[in-house]
Amino acid sequence: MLDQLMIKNTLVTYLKLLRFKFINILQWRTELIIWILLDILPFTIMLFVWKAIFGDNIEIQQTSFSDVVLFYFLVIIIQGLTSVHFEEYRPTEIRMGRIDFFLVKPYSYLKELVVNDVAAKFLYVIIFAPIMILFHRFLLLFTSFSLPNLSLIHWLVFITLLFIAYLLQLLLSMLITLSAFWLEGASGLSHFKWLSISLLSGTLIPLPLMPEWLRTLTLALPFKVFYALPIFVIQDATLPTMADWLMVSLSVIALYMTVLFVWKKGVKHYASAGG
Amino acid sequence: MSLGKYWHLFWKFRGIQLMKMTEYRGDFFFWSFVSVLWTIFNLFAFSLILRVSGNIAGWNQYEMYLLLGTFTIIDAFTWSFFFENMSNYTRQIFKGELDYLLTKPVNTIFLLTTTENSYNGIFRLIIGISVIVYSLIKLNISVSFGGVFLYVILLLSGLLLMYSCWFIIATLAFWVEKLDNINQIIPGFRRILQVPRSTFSGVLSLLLTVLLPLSLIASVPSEVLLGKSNVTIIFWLLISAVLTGLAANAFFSFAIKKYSSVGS
Repeated sequence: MLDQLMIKNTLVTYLKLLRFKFINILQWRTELIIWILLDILPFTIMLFVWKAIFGDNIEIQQTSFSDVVLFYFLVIIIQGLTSVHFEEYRPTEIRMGRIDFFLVKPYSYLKELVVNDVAAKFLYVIIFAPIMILFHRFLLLFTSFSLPNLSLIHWLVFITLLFIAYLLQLLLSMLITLSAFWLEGASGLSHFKWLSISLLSGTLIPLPLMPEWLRTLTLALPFKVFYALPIFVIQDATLPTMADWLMVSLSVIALYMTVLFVWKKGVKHYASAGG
Repeated sequence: MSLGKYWHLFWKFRGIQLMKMTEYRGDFFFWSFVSVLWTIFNLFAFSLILRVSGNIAGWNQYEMYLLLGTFTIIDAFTWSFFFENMSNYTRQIFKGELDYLLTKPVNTIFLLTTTENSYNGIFRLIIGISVIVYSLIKLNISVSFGGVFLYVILLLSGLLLMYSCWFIIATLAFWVEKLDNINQIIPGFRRILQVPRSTFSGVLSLLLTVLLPLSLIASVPSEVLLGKSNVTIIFWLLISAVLTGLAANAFFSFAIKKYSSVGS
């Protein structure tokens, strides 16, 4: 009974925090809209490139133009729902010694990073959804594309994979942020994160069009959970194998342990100016 | 101030930035490395597409590499010059610190445009030029001095066009608040520069060629080197660059009347 009450209180506290963060983030709504449009633009240009490439061809390497359009549409959705960017600006707080506040409260800096990003993601989704509906209408001007017949299991797996991808991105961003305890240019490490994800997660071009070596590499690494696996589920109605689940789960556990370890070491190393 | 003084001032700023760079050498090498990685990544991404298709909108593999080389040069300026100065510009507007520049006996736009720069894009610039030379060799094209001269003029026009568009958008900071990504808008359009202008068709082609001729910035200079240029389009790039530059200047003069600093 006492445990239930404690869980309820904790939940209420976090919901209040989430609400507060959400209200706070609302001030950046125009910026969010611009980010969404800027995220969509490069992929839209790629559609024109592929349209020019396909020309009158119905298929290239067993891939149709509709497949490519669906691929990029899914990439934009997955990117919008799972990408995390706080490692580009939050390391400054650690470098400047501005996290003391979180060290003396029962609300750690790691929790702050997560709660803040989840609140921002809520707002992002609210703005993102209508824009994507309009974008879908725009894409239909290019070509008709539709999803294969998917069961409830496929959708559940897709959502689970998105959740895991978001979790992994959160952990990666946390790790980069925490590296600021030792590194001055920690935020610059985010470029390595984006390069690795862009190159190895299956987001560059549809997997069937990739060269054999890159396809093999993509499927062999856990980065595939970011794009390749969710796209497989929707586009090909293919569910991940047990090996895939195992690899992804181990990655989450390993990253989580690393983040906790780095945080413990980092706090010991941390020194602020006080005042 | 005479033009000579501005020229002298321009190089003074470069000297100051060079001193800064030598002070933070680790920073310079780190960001240079990052910029080289992104450049290679861009080339690799397009090589994947070219492997599938052989050409993009009628541009074969090496013609595309030449275009990407031109884009890489523009990208070097984007991040090393434009981004640095525009970030400084909007920061000064948001913080109400523009007074320092307005009260100086030098053209404010000149100061806003030339004070800052980084040298992180040097390697990107070298890669861009190398890719162009390599592509010309592979295409067996020998370019005359006139061709190179026209290429440089058009490249500078393209840069002016891009910078003026950026300047106009950054000037909106006089009215808008809470828009930290205002300086990401024009870089966000960079993908348009990476593909031949013939990629776009219909209304979008009209928009990106005539109304907001971003698709000409890298394509037209590259077409000159490839010997498939169109005189009308060349003139349009030159005219639109000048017109956008004048528009940016006029918009700044209008916006500055709205400016109120924090005082001190």
